[in-house]
Amino acid sequence: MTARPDFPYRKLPGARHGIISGASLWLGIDHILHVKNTRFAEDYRRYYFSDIQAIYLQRTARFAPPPLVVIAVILGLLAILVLSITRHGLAVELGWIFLLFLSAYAAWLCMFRSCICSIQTALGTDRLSCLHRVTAARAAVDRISDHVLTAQGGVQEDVPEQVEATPQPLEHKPPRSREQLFGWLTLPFILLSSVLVMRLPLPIPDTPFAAALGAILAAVILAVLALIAGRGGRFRAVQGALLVLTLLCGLELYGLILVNTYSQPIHIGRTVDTPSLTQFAWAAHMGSIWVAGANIAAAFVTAALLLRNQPSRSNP
Amino acid sequence: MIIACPNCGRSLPPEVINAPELRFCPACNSNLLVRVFPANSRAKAVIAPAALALAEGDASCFHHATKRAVSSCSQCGRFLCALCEVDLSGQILCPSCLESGGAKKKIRNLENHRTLWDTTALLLGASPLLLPFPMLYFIFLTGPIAIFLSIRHWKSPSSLIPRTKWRFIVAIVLGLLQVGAVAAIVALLFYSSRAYRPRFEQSKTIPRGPVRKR
Ligand SMILES: [Zn+2]
Ligand SMILES: [Zn+2]
Ligand SMILES: [Zn+2]
Repeated sequence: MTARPDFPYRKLPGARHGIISGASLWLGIDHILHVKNTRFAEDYRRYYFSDIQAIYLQRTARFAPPPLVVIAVILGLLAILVLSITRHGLAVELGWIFLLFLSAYAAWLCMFRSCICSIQTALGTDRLSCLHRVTAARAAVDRISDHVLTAQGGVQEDVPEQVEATPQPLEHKPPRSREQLFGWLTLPFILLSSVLVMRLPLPIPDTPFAAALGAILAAVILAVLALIAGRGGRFRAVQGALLVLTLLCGLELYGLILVNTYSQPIHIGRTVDTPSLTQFAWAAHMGSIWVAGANIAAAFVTAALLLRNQPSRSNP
Repeated sequence: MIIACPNCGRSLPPEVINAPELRFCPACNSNLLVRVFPANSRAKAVIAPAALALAEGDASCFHHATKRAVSSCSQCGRFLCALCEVDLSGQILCPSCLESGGAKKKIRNLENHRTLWDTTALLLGASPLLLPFPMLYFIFLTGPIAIFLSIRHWKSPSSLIPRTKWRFIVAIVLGLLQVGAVAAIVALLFYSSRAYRPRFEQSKTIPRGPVRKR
């Protein structure tokens, strides 16, 4: 989009296009303009170059939905669980729809969000929601930095000394971070999925095929976990791993519902009516048991990491 | 102000601040890029008493008779001291002009909210498509309102950032379609009632069989 002559703003890289709201960042003569679009209206915030104290860019785990979404997922899974006890057919239908939405949302998350940006002025720190991709955010931060340094007449290199010279006591209690909150929220989910597996009696599957498929599924999950764990900080890795597991729990749950719905003919001591379907169901069941095991292990690791990262009163 | 990690809130070591590439927070291991500017370490600018002192022959501030005027308001021309002047994108304003200008939306840099009438009109026009069942009952309202909003706010200030008029045009087209649909329904009802009346009278005149006997 080309700028009009009467229009004093230039577009900065990075924009967020949501269904109900969006945001973008514009470079003005002496300030940056943050535009929050709520479809029916636009809200503006201006950050004058001379007032900007700091800009933060934090790379996040690619799978990092907001805690509210995690709560919604947990409630959805609970609803399906309740339905699966009373009305199997409906639960299977709903399970499919739910999984579809869940995977679409997860795909959207991994594709689009990779960082959190915030801007600090004397009045406080604001989140710049439009800068949510590392590449675009870095370009925007560099352009803003140039203007801010020109306006404030400083050179960036002399700042670290000043920061170092100041004493660094931690007077205020740091706010509980999003990732930590999210980490705690994933724990009930993990417990729920474990309970789901335990809820069903575990008869030994009569086909070696099912057990093998379950083991393969678990191996794939572990490979994905290892792949993610290799990408950076340990805490972030576990966060990502937990989200992969969250997604798989949806699959696992679907497998359980499938078992619940179609496994009546293969209760031990009865004949098998539809071998292919029940074999698939058993494979899903076996996979889900493996996933639940991995879930429980991951829960312990997360709890340990969360407790270790709990901000302490004393200085580091 | 202490530069703290946005994730864990602990103060960051100097090697993380203003580093050319992303670095890890030693406390929580999150990957960060932190740009700190001189404004962070500078104390809040305090106006020196010397700048306010009124000397012999100096003009005094309109609001403070004992303080020296350093500038004048670009809108009303009143003399202002260093305390009263407000610098807004190179424009000097007095506090009262700033307030009235902000209230009347004359000063673009003070506006922090604008209603997007074009999207509102478009959503009203498209509402029967977006929410098919409940909105169908209201097309006699939503269509005309969409057209009205489009025409009424065609020239209203829309957004601070560039925006074209396509939403208004689509809203008018959709509004006209809704009005057309309402007209068609009314016409259908009218003709069907006219077509029904003779049949109704006919059925009254034609004698029925013995079943209808009371
Ligand atoms: Zn940290
Ligand atoms: Zn004035
Ligand atoms: Zn004054």
